[in-house]
Amino acid sequence: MNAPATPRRHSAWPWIVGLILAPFVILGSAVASAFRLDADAAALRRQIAAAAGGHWGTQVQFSVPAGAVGLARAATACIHDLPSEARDGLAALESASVGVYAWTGADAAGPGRHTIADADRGMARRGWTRIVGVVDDRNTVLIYAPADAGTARPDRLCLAVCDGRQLVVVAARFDGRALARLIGREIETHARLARL
Amino acid sequence: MKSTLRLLLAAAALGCAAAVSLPAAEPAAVANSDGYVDFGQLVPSPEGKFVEVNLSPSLLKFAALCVSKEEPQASELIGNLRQVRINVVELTDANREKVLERVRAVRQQLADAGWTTLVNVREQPKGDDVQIFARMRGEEAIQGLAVTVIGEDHEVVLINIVGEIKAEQIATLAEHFHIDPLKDVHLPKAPQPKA
Repeated sequence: MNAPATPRRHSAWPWIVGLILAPFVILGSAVASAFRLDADAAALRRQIAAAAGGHWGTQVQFSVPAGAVGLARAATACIHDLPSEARDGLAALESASVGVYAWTGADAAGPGRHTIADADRGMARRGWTRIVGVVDDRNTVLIYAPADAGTARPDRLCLAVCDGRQLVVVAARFDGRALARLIGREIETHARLARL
Repeated sequence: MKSTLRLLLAAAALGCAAAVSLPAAEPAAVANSDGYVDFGQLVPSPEGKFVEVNLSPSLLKFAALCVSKEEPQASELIGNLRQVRINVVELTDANREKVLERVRAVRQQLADAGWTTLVNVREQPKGDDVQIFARMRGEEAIQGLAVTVIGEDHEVVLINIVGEIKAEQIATLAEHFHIDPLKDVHLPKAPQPKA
């Protein structure tokens, strides 16, 4: 004869431990993501670094997610003597990701013209189209915008600047209207100053 | 020409500095426009300067929005443009022949396609060789402009502006995009029909 099965006791400890650890896990992943580059910017960096050859060491790499920008916006709302440009700039920015890399070898050839085509192909696969390309001696500037027609928002920009020894990659998300207001106001100010 | 280029790029950068809120380019639609010019493949020199700017309708509309309060006329003009493309190629021994051949081919192609020559300047013995073409729609409107410059400073500049431009807006366009040769352009009057 089988003994009657005793009801299984559910321990509360896993839940308690989970709840205690959750904030740390969330915080840890947030901190880790803050030091990772945006996926599109990372792809652009890989393309350029591969084309230039050699090893590019990371100098600075961070991401400011939308939540952090929102927090900064809320915090600066309390600062009354903050320049309006800074406030407007913060209002226009939604998120940003920046990476600075340095060539660690003896000499870098730089991305060069032939690599623009490679970068274009790589970025096109990710839905970006190049709007500006400048190659001058050792300097290269590439600016990409979303290629997908019909998506009004969010507004994004991805750019890379390389001088042969240092590479800066930026990906940013903007509020287009807020940015237009900011630029418009700057144009007005400069025009007023020019008239004086 | 260098200062012109610098200012031109600055104007372009205004639009580029902020990839913006409206839909991005419609490459196929723009390429089918009457005012569109295919410059083909320009061969950059391995050691020379190479600049390529391609402003889509969305970026131009954004730029128009930026200047709408300060310069409403310029805003209207820029907002009606569909594409602005700028190519600058430095000439060296490695690419001079091919690039110049390309520029001559583009000029011939425009003339053959019935574009109106607005400017044809060749400074002698040395100097800029400038030709500006317009795709006219009637007497007063332009559907596209093509600026071709072979600079004395060993640079070739090719600019294509696609979109509706009124005759009286040419000066505004020249001023805002800093295209000096366009500043004194007056559209040729169409011949009067005989009574």
